[in-house]
Amino acid sequence: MNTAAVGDGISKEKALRGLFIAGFIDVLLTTTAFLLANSSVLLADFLKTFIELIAITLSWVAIRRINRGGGKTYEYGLGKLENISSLFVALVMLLSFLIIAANAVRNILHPGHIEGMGLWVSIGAQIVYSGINGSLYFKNRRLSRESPSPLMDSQTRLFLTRFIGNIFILLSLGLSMAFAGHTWSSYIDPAASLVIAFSILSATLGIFSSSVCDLLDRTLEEERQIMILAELARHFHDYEELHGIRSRCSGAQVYVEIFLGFDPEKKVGEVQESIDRIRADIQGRIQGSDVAIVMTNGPVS
Amino acid sequence: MSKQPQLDITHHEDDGLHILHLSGRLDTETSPHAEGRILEVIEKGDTFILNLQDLVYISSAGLRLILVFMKKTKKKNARMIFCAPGENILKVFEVSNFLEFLEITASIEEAVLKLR
Repeated sequence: MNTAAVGDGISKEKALRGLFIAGFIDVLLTTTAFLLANSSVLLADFLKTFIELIAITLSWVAIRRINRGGGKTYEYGLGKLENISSLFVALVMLLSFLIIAANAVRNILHPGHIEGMGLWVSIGAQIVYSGINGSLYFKNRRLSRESPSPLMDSQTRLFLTRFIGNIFILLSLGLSMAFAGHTWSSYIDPAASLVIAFSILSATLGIFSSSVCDLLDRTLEEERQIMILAELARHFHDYEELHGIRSRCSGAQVYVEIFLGFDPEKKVGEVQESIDRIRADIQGRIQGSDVAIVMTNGPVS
Repeated sequence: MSKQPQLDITHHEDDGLHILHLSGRLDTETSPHAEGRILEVIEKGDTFILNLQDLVYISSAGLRLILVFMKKTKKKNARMIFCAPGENILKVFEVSNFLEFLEITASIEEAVLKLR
């Protein structure tokens, strides 16, 4: 593991620790609000934040394992650990969607006005947390752009979803209370909840799709395959035969194996120089790639 | 019923000049068949024309094949000319740096003239 990778892992771990603390306080507040009010939206909010905290904890544990051990023993498997954590986050988000949607449907079928001290607790909490989640979203988005990975992607999506959720719950509670005298206002809560539920579902599908493809060792997409071939074309005179190319993604890491034949009259040093040039150019062009060039004199299966 | 590969390859020889006509798509699905067929022809001669006039699509798998063909012909000091590629195919060759080593002509007649 190189120094850059260690520093990168530690900054991800710090980010996740911050998210864990914020999530834990959020759970305490949503629990209090839910217990002091009769709003099913607040029940859904409590369940959602509780499940999200579990997801953050798992991601935090995963990144700690990556940073502290197994680097040498599980070089390929660590990418999968990230994918599995992301899949779990996706499953947790799916569960949140189902709970919120079920509550919304129940409230639409049996509408009622919301009341209790918990509403004010929640309104205060939503104001504070919309600020916190908004800033954490931007922080994670920056980290994710600097060092793309499924884990940071899922965290970024998660906190965008939470930020939107805060705003919607705030509006929902505020409007329900402001128009409490009108019958139609009892539908505001479930309607706002459904919007939140579908935004969670949308984020879940994105994470699920990306993580499952990576877990199945998908090959590189067409654009990056062509980048490899373009570099091989640029170095056309450096090698004698192309016997095969293999590629796969594991988390944010891309592994490429290229099987080349070289002129037997060339010196080993010259061949090594060619290999180094080709490898450096492909690695420079494909972010997060680890390129291995194998000298061989026959086709590979 | 199995799906037919969407690539037709016809081959004819005219006084030692091998002309291969590719029609359809050269992609992951069709490239294994094309590889076997074209390498077989490359073993037989020294001058080749790949007529791409009716090739409508080429993927990275097809580009890899072309790289393999060019390496095979270079190794045996043979010559291969690609003729009449469509605009899309030419664009793919351009972005993938293939124009740096491919010999391309606008028509089959021009390719024949170059090889005679």
